Amino acid sequence: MLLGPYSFLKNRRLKTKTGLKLLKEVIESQTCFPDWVIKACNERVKDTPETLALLFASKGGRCEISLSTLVIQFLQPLSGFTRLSKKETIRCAWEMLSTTQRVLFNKMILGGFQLGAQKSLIHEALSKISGIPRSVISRRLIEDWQPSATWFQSFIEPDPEIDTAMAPCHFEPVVVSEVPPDKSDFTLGLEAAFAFDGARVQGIRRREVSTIWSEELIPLNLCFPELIRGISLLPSGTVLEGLIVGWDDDLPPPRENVQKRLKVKTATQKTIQSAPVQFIVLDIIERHGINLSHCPFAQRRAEMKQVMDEWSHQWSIHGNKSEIEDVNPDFFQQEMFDMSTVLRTEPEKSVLPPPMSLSRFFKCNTWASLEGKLNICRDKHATGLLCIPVDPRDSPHSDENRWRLLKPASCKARLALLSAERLPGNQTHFIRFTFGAWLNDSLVSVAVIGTQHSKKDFESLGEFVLENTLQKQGNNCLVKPDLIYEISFEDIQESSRSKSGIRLKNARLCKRLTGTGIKQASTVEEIKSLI
Amino acid sequence: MLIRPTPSGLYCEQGDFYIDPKRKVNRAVITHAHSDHARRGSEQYLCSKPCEPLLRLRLGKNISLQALEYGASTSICGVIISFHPAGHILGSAQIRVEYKGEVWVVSGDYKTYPDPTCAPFEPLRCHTFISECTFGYPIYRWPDPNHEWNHLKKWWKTNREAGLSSVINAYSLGKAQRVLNALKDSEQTVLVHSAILSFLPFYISEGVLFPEVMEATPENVMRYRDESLIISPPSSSMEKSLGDPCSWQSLDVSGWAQIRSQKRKKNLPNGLIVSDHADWEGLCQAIQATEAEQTFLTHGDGSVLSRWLTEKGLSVSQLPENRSTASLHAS
Ligand SMILES: [Zn+2]
Ligand SMILES: [Zn+2]
Repeated sequence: MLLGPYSFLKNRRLKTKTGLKLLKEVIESQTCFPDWVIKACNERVKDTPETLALLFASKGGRCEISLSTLVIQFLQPLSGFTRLSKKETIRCAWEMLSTTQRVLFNKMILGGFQLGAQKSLIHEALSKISGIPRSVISRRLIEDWQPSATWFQSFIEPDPEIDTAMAPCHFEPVVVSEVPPDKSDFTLGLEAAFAFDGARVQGIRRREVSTIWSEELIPLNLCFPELIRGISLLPSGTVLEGLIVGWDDDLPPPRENVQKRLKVKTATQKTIQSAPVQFIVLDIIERHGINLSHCPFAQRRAEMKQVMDEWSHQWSIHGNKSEIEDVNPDFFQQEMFDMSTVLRTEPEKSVLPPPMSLSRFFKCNTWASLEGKLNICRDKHATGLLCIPVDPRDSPHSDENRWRLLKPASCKARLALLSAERLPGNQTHFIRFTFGAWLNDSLVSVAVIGTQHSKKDFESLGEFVLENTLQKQGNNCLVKPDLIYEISFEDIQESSRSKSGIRLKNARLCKRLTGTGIKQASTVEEIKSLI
Repeated sequence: MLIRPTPSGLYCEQGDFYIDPKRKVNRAVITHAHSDHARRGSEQYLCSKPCEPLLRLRLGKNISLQALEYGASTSICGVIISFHPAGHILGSAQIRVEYKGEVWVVSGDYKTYPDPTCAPFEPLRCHTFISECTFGYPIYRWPDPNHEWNHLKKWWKTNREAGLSSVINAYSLGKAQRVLNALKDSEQTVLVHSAILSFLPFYISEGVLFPEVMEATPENVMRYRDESLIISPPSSSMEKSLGDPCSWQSLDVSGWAQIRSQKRKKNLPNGLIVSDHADWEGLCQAIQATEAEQTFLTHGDGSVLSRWLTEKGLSVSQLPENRSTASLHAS
């Protein structure tokens, strides 16, 4: 049965309200093994569910019991039982099962039964099996589910009304480039906006239902409930696209906020407060239920402005109220997220930003004006400029009419290789290289180069390390500082971990500088002056 | 101390002999023919009768060797020595040593589960018991061997039906013969590695039944591929000669196969949990049955077993390997 595996693939733990302590108690009452025996055995097995399975001396029945039966008959009822009946149920199950089955059973209880499959792959597979689009699968799976056959049946049945209402629009790929192909031509009639580190999303309001989709077609409603609340104030039939970025009273927008939020499955008020974010609206794809993606950007921009003006008005009326009931909550919120509990608590202390805001746009008609903006990207802590022609160019489907991300030209520094980190357990394979610059009279680390580089680069660095290692500290090899590389980077981040106090952002190897002595490596001061 | 550990192995001073010595000695008393117990180079050997041919095969035809029937005894300088079945492999023995009324038993390797290829383990009463402790953790409990053999037969059948060769990794002395014996009613070809083949005659002369076997030469392996079962020692490169890894399946036969997480870590193939050593239960029972005043554990980690039995009121401790007599007295 597909469903059983799926439930566990998803790393979701069945709520059995049963912990390790209880399992150990069953072991102890059945076998008399005290805790020290369990501990000693586990040091050998190195897997608690398996240790417990092995310690339970059963006559080893290998009964033919399906995973779903096991789940339905033994695991699901557990959460409602008293401690005593839990123990009895577990003992019964253990007695019936073979050792291997007991291992799986224990893992399900303790939450360790999972397979390292990517979410997107699982969704793809489920989509293939059921014939339901992947985005619908992803969205349905954020609702509450039961590992039962009935639930699975209803899960794979189509529900056209809701499914269409929540479906995302196509995410047009964004072209990324450092320098535009033809500066003069390129800059005619462009709108530009600062791009920030964050997540590209679509915010959708249709038929009283609000959804946020990531570019990877993962619904993010539970990660960003406060944004959902914002989106629920949009008129029905609206699809906005933009970036979710970290938010702070002062610039820069904290980049880590979005990452933090994406990691949390269901955001609580604490999460929302500790890592505030905002949905920066950059484009409109649907209004009044009509797709606008082929309209000129000038028109989209105008429509977007109207929508956001109207939204700001709505927000000023409903936004500060702590109760969501006023704004006709959609079923999705009622089921999935009790907004009132999130926003009702201590609303006066809240320093949350409005959940959405329209991006600022700049008209750029000359290369010089665009370049001016590009040059201040770093000051603004922006990753670059998002540009789009105001009116469509001749070829309506060419890249030119799409959003383009222009990145400021990267800076370059001459850095010396200081150390390399070995793959644990492997003597010759390195996974990270640390490069340094001069500070006073010593070389201090400023950049770490990871695995995104070509194998060739890494091999030649690795060879150098093997021949020039001065000292080993665990997996870290300190090398004779004799190898100088030209290294490009996009920005400087403050770093408390390095003596230099800085760390280069997006550092990449350019070329090895032969014939360059160690003395010619850049100084930290020089690097700072580049930005 | 009638028997004490020395760098050369367990030593009985009164009788001036070593049990399973690790180095060349004058007189070696051997528990069984496994290479970690029976080493070359000693002047004189003493072993059980069914062990004799195996030992000669392993150590050389012309070694100076005296063999005793199980239960029979001989006396060296007033020390009475006798061999008693250990149930480990053909000819394996516990060694009973008696001097002036004090009885010590050195178990050698043993198991308490039934094994048709050797005489069953015989519990002996003694004052001091030196027990092996390969699997001295309660996570090791062997399933009924018949259950595992049935699994083996099913597995082989499935492979045959899929046109795959089946490779069994098993020690050439003891385990391999146990596997063969379990397949004694088989009508299909069983190919065995030459190292295994050389021991078969001694088993047959002790009345152990086997199916028809052929040597697993490269020609035979090719000729009977798709249907044959091949038994080879884990160290042999049999799997290499089979070529395409998609054309065969393999299975380990070992007590170590019991732990999944370690199997996975070491990337070991699936296994039949069949061991020639005592499991936790077997060790506990054997030790208790001796009614010994003290038990020493050797040949494995005895920390859990000794603490467990000590908490039950027995005097059980790890044998301090290679240390002086003084430290043993102190313990
Ligand atoms: Zn042995
Ligand atoms: Zn041994």
